[in-house]
Amino acid sequence: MSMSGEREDILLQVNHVRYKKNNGQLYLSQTRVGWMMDESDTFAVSVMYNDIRTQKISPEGKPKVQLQIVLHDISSYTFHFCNTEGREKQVAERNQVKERLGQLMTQNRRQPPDELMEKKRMLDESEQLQQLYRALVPTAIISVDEFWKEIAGQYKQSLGPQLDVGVSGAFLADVKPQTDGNNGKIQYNLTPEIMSSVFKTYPAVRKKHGEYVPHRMSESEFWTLFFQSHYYTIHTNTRTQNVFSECSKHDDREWNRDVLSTQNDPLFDLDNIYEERPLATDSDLKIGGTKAGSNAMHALMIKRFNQQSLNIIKAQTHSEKEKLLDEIAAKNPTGGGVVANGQPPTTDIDQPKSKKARIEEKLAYNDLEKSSTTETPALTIHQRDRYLTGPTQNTFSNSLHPDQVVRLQEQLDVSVSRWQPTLPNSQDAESATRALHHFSDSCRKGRSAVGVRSGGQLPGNLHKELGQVYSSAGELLRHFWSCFPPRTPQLQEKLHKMHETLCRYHNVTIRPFQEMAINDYNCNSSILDHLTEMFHIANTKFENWKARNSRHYNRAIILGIVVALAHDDCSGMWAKVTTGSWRNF
Amino acid sequence: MIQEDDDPKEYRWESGYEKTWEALQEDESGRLEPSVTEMIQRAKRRKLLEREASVRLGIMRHVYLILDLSQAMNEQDLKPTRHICTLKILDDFIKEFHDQNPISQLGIITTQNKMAKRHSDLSNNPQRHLDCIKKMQKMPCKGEPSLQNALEVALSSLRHLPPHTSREILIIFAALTSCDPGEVGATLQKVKEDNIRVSVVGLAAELHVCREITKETGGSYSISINDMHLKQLIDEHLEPPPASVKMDHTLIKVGFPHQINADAKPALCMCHLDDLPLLNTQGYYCPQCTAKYCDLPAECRVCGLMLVTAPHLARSYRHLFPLKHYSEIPLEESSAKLCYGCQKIFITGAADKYVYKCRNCHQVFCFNCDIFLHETVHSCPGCASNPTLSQTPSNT
Repeated sequence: MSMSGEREDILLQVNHVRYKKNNGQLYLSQTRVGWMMDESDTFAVSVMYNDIRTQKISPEGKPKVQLQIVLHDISSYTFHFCNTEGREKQVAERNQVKERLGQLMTQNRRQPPDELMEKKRMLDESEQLQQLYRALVPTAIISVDEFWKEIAGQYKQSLGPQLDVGVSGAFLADVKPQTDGNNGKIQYNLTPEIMSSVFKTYPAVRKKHGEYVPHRMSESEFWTLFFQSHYYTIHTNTRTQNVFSECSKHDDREWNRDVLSTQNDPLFDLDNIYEERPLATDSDLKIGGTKAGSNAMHALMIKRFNQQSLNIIKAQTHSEKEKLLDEIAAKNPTGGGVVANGQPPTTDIDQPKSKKARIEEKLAYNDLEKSSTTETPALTIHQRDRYLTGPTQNTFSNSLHPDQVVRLQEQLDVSVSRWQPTLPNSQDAESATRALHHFSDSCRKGRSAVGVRSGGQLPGNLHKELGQVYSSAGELLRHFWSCFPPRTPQLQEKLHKMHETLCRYHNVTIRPFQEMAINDYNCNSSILDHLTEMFHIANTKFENWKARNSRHYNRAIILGIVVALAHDDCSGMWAKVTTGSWRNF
Repeated sequence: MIQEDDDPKEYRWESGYEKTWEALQEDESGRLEPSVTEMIQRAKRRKLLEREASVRLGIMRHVYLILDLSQAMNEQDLKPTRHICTLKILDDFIKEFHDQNPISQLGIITTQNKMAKRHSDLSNNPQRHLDCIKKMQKMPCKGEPSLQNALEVALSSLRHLPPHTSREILIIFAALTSCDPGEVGATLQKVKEDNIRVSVVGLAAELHVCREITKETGGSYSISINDMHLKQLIDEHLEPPPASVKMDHTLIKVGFPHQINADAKPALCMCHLDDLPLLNTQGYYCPQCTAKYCDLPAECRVCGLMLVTAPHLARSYRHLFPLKHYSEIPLEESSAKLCYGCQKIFITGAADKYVYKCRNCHQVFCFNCDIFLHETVHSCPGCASNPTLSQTPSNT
C-alpha cells in the first residue's frame, strides 16, 4: 500500500483531514488518492481512481464537512475536513478536493475500461471469430496472446475507426416541446444525444451538471431548470438564485472577450454593427455594444443566438484540440504532465494568419487568374509488339511473296472443293477400339468422384465441419503467406512460428478429421486431399526459403574466411580474387 | 405567333423563361428531328474530342462511393425522390464499372445522422454491391450528413493500400450542410497526404467545402441539373482518371489460373465459405497456393495474389492503344456511297452532312458508327479487316 515503489507526483495535498477520528493529510496523485496519518510515513488509505465508483459530499446544513469515496465493491471511505481556520475554509478545501478528484477520475477512466469485457464483446459479435477461437486456442495450436494480437487485430481493423458525432446547428430547436392540453404543462423529450450536444456546446453547464446531479437534485429537475433558464427562454428572473445564473455570467464574460477580439480585428469593417467599445460588466442585460434598434428584447435575442452559434463552433475546434492532446499523450505515456485543462501546445491551426497573408487572400480570386493545367504524366509505350502478340521467338517468319500467296490460295481452293472423305483409311480398327475403351474408362471414373455417390453431397454435419476446418486452416495459411518475402527479422521469426503452428495444426486437427471421416462417415479418404495439398505447398515454400537462406549464410561464412585470409596475407591480389568470386555467385 | 416586344430595360429573370424553343428550326420538310439530332451530334463529338490520348492512366482503381442518405435526399426534384433515382443510377454504374474496370475494386459508404458507416468493403465482386444498393432502397433518409466522418471511414481503409494503385473517392452529396465533430481541414490534410483523389457530384447547389476538397485533391466537382444529367455526370467516373505524378509504377505479381485442371482435387471454394459451398472441382485454383475460387477476378484470400484472366487484362488495352479520331469531311468530298460499318446509304441532308473517315484505312463511316466505334468497340473495322494493316502495327 505504500507508494515507495514509484515516484508519483503529488498533485494536491490537504492538511487537517480526519479519517476514523485520526488527524492526517489527504494526498491526490496521478493515479490514486491516499491518506496519511500525522507523524506517520506510510499511507493508511490508498485507493486507485479506477476503483472509485462515485464520491459524495455531506449536505449543506450538516455541521461536519465530509467527503465520502464509494468504491465498486460498496466499501467506502469518509474523510472529515477539520481545518482550524473555520468552516468556510473547510468547505473550500473539500470542494477543491472534490473537483480535482472528479477530474482525475475521468482522466483515468479514459483508458480502456476492461480488456476482458472487450474481448468477450468481440467474440460475441462475430461468430466467425468465435469459431476460429474455439478451433485454434483450446487445442494449443496457437497461444492466446498470439490469437488476440494477430487474428483479432485484423478483425478490429476491418471494423473501421471510432467516430465522433458533431453538434448540429439546430439541436436546441429540435427539442420540440409538446403541450399537454389540460394543465398547460409543457413536456420536453430529452435524448442522451441532446444532452451530450448541450454538454459539448456549453462546458459551464457540464460542470454544473457534475456538481448538482445526483446530490442536490435529480436529472429531471436539473433539466427543467435548464429549459427555464436563459438558455432557452427569453424571460429570466435574475432576482432568484438560479443554478444557471453563474453560467450566464460566465457566458457573458466569454462573449465580451470574443466580441472584443472580433472588433479589434482591423480587417473587419463593423461600424454598422458595433457602436462603441463594450463595457465589461457582469449584468446580463448589457448587450455588448451591438446596435440593435430600439427594442432591447430583440437585441437580447440576437445576442443569445449569436452566443449559441459561437459556442457550437467552439465545440468543434475544442474537440479537435482534444484529439491533438490525446495523440500527444498517446505518444509519451510516461510524460504524465498533460492535465485536462492545461494549455495545449500551439499547432498550425491556432497560428493566426499574418495581416499581409489575409489581405492577399482577399485579393486573389481564382476565377480571374489564368487556369493552370496540371501536369499529367505522359504515357510512352516501348516495345509495342509485346502488348499485341504474346511472347514469341524474335524472328519474323519469312514472309511469302504475294504471288506465292495467291498461288497457294488457289491450290487450297481446288483441293478443298475436290476433297472426299475416305473413312476406312483414316484409322485402323484396333487402335480405334483401344481409343474408345480408353475414353469410356476415363469418363466412368470422372473428375468429380469424391468418394460420395456421384451427384450426392456430403452428409450435413461432415460438410459443416469440413467448412470450419477450411476456414481455420485458411486463416492460418493466410498469416503464413503474409510473411513472404521475409525482409525483416521480425517477419522471419513470424515465419518460423507460423510454420510450427501449421505443422501442429496438421497433426492435431487434420489427421483426426480424416480418420473420423473414414470411420464415422465411411467416406473416401480423398476429401481432405486438397487441404493437405495446400499444406504441402506451404511446407515446400518454407523449405525452399530455408535452404536458400542457409546457402547464403554458408556462402557468407566462406567468403568471410577467405577475406580474413587475404587480410593476413596482405596482398591486394587475393582481395581482388575474392571480390570477383563474390560477384560470380 | 404573337411576338412580344422585348423591353430592353428588363432583366433576364423578369423576361420569363429562357426561350430554348427558339433554337430549334424546322427544315424544308417541316420536321424538327434534324435540328435536334444536330445538337446532340455536336455535343457528343465535342466530348469525344476533349479526351486526350497518350496520358498515363491509373487503371488499378480502388474507389469508395460515399452516398449521402440525409434528409435532403427525400426531396422530390428528381422523380420519384432523389434517393430512389440516385440508387437506380448507381445500380447501372456499378455493373458498368466492373465491366469496364475488371481489375478495380469498389466499396460503398453511407452517411446519415451525423455518422458514417461502411456498408460494403472494397471488392471485385459486383453482386455484393448490388445487394447492398437494394437494401439501401428500404433505408429511411434522415438526419444530417457528415463529410468528415465519411472521409475518415474511407481513409481508414484506403491508406493501407499499396502505392501503385489509384485511390479515389466519389461523393454524391445532396445536402447543403455538413455536421462534423471537428475540422474538416484536418481530415483534408490527411486525405491529401495519402494521395487520394476526391470527386463530388452534387444534387443541390455548389458548396464551398466541396469545392475546396476537390480542388485540393485534384478531383472534379459538378452539379446535376436533372436525372439524365446526373447519370451522365456519374458515368464520367467510369473512365480511369489520369495518374497522379506521385503514383509509383511497380511490377505487380498477378496469377492467371486455368479453368481446366486435369488433376484437380475437389475442394471447397474460399469465396463462399460462410454458406457451405459444394465440394467439387469447378472453379479456378490459385497458382500459388491452390485455394479455389468460383469467379474471377478475385484476390486470393490465402496468399494475397491477384487473380485475373487474360481477357480481363485485355479490356484495359483500349486505354493503351486508343482509337484515333476520325477526320470529319463533308459528304460531297467523299466518294463513298455506303457507310463501311452499317452499310447505310448516305443521303444528302442534315443527318449525313458530315461523314467520318479513318486516317489509316481511309474507310468512311456514318455519324452513328463513329460514336459507336469510339465509345464501345474501340477498334476500327476497316483497319481490322484490312490484311496488310492488321499485320503490321500502325505507327502511332
